[in-house]
This record gives sequence, C-alpha cells and structure tokens, in this order.
Amino acid sequence: MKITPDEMVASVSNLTTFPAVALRIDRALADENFTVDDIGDILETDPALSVKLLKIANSAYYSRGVEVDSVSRAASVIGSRKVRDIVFTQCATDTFKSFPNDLQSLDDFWNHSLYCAVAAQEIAKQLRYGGDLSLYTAGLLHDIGQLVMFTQYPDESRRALEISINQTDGTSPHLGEIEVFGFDHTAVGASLARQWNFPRALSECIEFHHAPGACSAELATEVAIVHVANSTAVLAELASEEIEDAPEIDPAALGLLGLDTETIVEIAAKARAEVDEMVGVFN
Amino acid sequence: MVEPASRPVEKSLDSATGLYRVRIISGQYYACSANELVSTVLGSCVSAVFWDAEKGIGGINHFMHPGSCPSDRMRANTPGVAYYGQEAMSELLERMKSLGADCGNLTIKLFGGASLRSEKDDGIGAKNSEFAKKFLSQKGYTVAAADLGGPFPRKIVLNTETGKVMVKRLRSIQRQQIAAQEISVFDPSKR
Repeated sequence: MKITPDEMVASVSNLTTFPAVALRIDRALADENFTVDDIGDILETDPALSVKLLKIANSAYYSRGVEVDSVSRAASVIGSRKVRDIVFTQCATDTFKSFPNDLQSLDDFWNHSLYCAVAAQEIAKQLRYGGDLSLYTAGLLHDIGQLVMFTQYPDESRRALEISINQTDGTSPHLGEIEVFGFDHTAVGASLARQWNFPRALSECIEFHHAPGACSAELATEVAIVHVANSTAVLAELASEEIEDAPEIDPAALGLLGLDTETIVEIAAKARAEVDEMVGVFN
Repeated sequence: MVEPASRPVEKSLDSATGLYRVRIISGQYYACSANELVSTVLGSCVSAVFWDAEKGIGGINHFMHPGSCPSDRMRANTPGVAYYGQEAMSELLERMKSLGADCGNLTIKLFGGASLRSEKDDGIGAKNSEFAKKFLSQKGYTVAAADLGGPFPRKIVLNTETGKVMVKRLRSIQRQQIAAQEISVFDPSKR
C-alpha cells in the first residue's frame, strides 16, 4: 500500500488538534511548583469539563457531605493526578466520538484502552514509578492509531484482521497490519501524537508498545509498562488467567520491570473489576 | 469477502512443522487419518471434534444453525455443505466411518456457541450448543470436554493424530468481523 502513517493522519480533517486543556494540565503537573488553583484555572477554560469534575467531586464516592462548588476545590477533592486522568479520558473519547467503524465498536475500543490504562497505572504503582508521565494516560491512548486506520481504510484493516486470525493465533493484529500497510497502528498513533504535540514519553509509549526494545533508553521503563499493560488488558478482556491467551510479552521488558506472570494475571483481574465499575460511572 | 462453504477446504504445507494445515469455514467439515492441523474460527457457530484414538482418525465440523436444513433443494444443490447441525453431525460421522473410524469409540469435544452481543444475536450460540449436546446424547455419545458460550470468539486447532485441541479466545477487535461473516455467509431467509 502506497501511503505513509503521516499521510494517513493528514487525511483526517477533524483530528487536527487534541484539546489544549489536557496538555496544559499535563504540563502544569510536571512543574513542581504547581498548585490546585493552577489546575482549577486551566479547567475553568473548559465549561463542560468543569461541570463534569464538579459532578464527580460531589458524587457519593468523593463527597464528604459538603457541597463542592468551585473547580479548584473539586481538583483538590479528587486529586490533581486523578483529575488529569479524567480530563484525558474525557478529551480522548470526545475527540474520537465521530470515529465509528464497522470493525470494532467504540465501546469495545475504549474498554480495551481502559483495561490497559488501569493496568499500566497499577504496574506503575507497584514499581513506585516516580516520573512525570501518567501511565494511565499512556495506556488509555496507546491504540489511537487503530481508530484512524479502521476509519480511513476499513477494507484494508479488515484484511489485516483476517490475516491475524487465519495465519496466526489472532493475538497480534499489528502483524497483519504490517503485511497490508507496511506499517502498523503504532506508527499511525505516533504520527498523531507528534501532530498533537504530545510529550515525548507519551508519544514513545504509543509508538513502541509492540516493540519495547526500540524506544529511547531513558523511556524504557515507561514503554515497558505500557507493553506489559497491553497484554494484561487482553487477559482482562478475555477474563482469562492463562498468560498464553495474551499477546506475547517481551521477556526483556518483563525483566526490566521485575514482574512475573502470576502478578500480571492478578493485575488483569484487578483491572477487570475496576474498569467494570468505572464504565458505570462514565456512562 | 465472504467465502462460500462450497469451495474446497484450504490446505497448505506448514514448512516449520512439516504438517498440513487445513482451515475450514462454516458449512464445512473435515476428517482425516493423517497427522494434520485443522483450524477454524468460531463465533456463535459450534464445532464438534470427533476422534478415534485407536485408529488415529480425527474429524471436525462447523455449523451455524441448530436443527436440519429446511430446504431439500438447497441440500441437493450443495452436496458436502452442512450449515445446519443435523447434517454437520451426521455427515461428519459418515465421513469418519468411511475412513475406518469406529464410531462406537469416539472421544468428542464441543467448542464455540458464543454470544457475540451483535445486534442480530438472538441467542443462536446457545441454541447451537444445546443442539449439539442433544444430538450427541440421543445417539448415546458422551461429551468428553466442552468450551461453549461466553462473549468470546474462539480459534481452535485440532491435531488429528493426537486428538488434542488448542483453543484460543479471540479479542473484541475480531468479534464484529466474525459476527458479520457468520450472519452474511448464509441467511436462510434470503433463499
């Protein structure tokens, strides 16, 4: 196929920007002097998001009996990092809501993405990861290239899926994509991430989640987490405790994180329970 | 895009293992006495795997509908094609017999019958599973193992020499495609 990932992304007219509010919050959190008021100020530029966060802060889960009526108060009740995760989730689902395709429902797409987000976050927590990247966000957005691919080139994408089922065991659709397009959804996602000025750590997690050995040395941990979280998410989706049901995990990535397969199975079960609960809240 | 069951089963030599790989689709069935790897992808369809351990003969079918084919004309026009459980089961048993299998001594396993949650899902997966179980018990067979139901499509691979069946659950990313194929490959209301 004679098209590049950049051309594929450029052919989509309604994807030119990612909501600025999400990236501004991400930058603010990376600044060690940030305050919840800074977060509140940024959020207030987006009325729909402000309303959403107020609602969440006043929900049974967070409420302490006192009504929360300002956005910065809401940020303090929910927690700034959690706010960032909520904002990215909302912005991403909004951005792609006009991307229905016949190959995968958006519900199924976001379900896998949420499993991956929660699994990545849990792995980061277990490793006591202290960097700036939200592994939740990286997990959430790791497959965005697939939505562009499926929407813009449905017939070719269908062929790629067929190849992955008929010629292999179906766990690695990206290999079928490479056969049909010459590249896979990670390259499309990376192109989109560049166009959207995503921070480099986030871009590399998207670009290398199927090839963790190929990323920059200083981002090896982040990329390995998303790589492992992707396989964990498949286990969660299939409600399986057999590691063989998941896409193969790069042993080097697993070694780098110091995780064993037993822990991954446990995290998968945890992600499954958490996301099933969360999906209720978001709908 | 959709493949008709009347085409011959797909067969190719796998250079890595030196074994023949066979792929069957809904409406097809296959049996052999050589060492081969037979695969099929199941959504709401059901596959029965028959295996005669003593003779080393294995067989598999892949049907879409419970009951038997309502149209005599269709059955006559497409010999060797079995979209309905009744024909898929009986014809596979006949094929096994013709290869020399002892049909009183079969190990039987059932797979598929998923509920794919597509709009047109009317519980067909469960009906196919029920049909297979009922058919077999009426003939006096016991089912040695079954992996039926649930929301996942499956890919199964039968090794006809050892009788072993590898089952791989498939992700939602493949679900819609498999559901669409199962619906469009054969719609009895349009014949």
